[in-house]
Amino acid sequence: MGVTVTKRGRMPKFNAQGIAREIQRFAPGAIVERVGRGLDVKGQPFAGYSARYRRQLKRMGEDPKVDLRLSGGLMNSVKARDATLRADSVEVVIAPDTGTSPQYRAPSERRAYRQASLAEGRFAERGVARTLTKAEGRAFAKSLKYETAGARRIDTGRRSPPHNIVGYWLHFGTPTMRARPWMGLDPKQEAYLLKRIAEIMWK
Amino acid sequence: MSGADAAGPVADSAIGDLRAVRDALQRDLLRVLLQLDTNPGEDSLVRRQGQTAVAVYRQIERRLADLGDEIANVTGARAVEAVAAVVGAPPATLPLDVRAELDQIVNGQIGDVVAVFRAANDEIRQAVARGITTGGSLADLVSAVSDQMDVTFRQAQAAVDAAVMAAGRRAVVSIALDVEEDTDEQMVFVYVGPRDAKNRPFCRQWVGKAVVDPRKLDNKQGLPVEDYCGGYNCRHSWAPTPIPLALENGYRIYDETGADVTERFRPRMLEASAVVDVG
Repeated sequence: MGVTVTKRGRMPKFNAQGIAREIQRFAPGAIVERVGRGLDVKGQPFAGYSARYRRQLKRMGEDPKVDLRLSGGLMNSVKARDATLRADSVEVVIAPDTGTSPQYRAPSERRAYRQASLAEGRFAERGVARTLTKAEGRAFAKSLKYETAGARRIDTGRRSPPHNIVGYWLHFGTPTMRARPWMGLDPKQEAYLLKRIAEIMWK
Repeated sequence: MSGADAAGPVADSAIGDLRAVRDALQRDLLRVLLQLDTNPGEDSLVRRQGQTAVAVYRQIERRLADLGDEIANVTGARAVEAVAAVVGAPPATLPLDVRAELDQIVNGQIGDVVAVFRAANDEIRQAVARGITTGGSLADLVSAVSDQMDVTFRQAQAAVDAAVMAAGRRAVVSIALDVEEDTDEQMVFVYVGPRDAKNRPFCRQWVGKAVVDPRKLDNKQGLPVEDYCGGYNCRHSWAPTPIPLALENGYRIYDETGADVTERFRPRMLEASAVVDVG
């Protein structure tokens, strides 16, 4: 005796192109927006910045909010980098790029004094403490003026590590920096994306 | 080790090119300037400016014209290649017009880099002319040229950085703006980033808000808002966000006139219970 099962109505259809497109439209913005609100992939607030880093941000005139952003290079590099469509699956890579950003530092009066002290020989050779030459004195005055000219970012002329590496360090943390997991969707965003994928499959 | 020195990151090839240009140009200019010191019996620019100033100035001018323009063009082309490599080949699933838009931004930045070097040529010429005609010391003149080359290098580097960021923003924004009636839901664009004393007026106005179409906004910098946000080196980003999520997270939605149109979208809202203060 056999059993015949009949299903009526429309069946869901796996639309790989449509699903990939939806992920590309939604995921990068969702990540950047959530990080902008200071929330991690679980929807929890990020670990706070260290007191030292907060002081540096203040000297740079920057917003001390934990949003993993200084130049904006990392967050602006998050996008769909690759997509693989198969008959029964879709793989979309959303990630920061391999580019770098300028490296900034906070102004530091102490830095000017340290440079002048080095020129004077105070730290170079024991017992030697000569007076700054006129040119060194001028350089010290210029440097001191520069370092005390108000809160701002100073471009060091060096570059950051590649964005994907910085993103990895931020996500998993380092021995000197707490983890701030940011690459991914939080449960609410994931639920929204699954709902949209279901809608696309039933269209 | 800085990123610029690390092997691997492709953006660094553009930086490397720019650094090479600076070094080449600087070496050449300094060589011309230092010729002044090789004349026997003369040890200061002041003493011999009457005899050699005009000749030196002409040499510098000619070298800047020949070398500067040529190198700026080469650098521009190489920088474009580097930017393209960083931005990467857009996924094949992106619509063709989005891929074309990315190419356009990458190609467009060649003009910025070349313009920076051309402008710098003028400023270096002026610095040299000032130094020679006013009879300042050779050390000051060399230092002025060197400073100007540093400034130029950083400006050109900033142009490359701005183009890379613009292409990144465009890749995200374009596909969200491109709504296919059958499958896609309309999105709004949340302006994300720091809120501090350094904000440009445009950024101060829009940060923490959602807009319907960023292309219709004006940052008063003559740059496309969807690519450059508030202008060159802007720290902000556009985050395409589905309307229900934007409303749920407490964002107000504005049109290009600055009018609050949140209520127009309210009926689409899925859950109205949670409102988050986004500051």
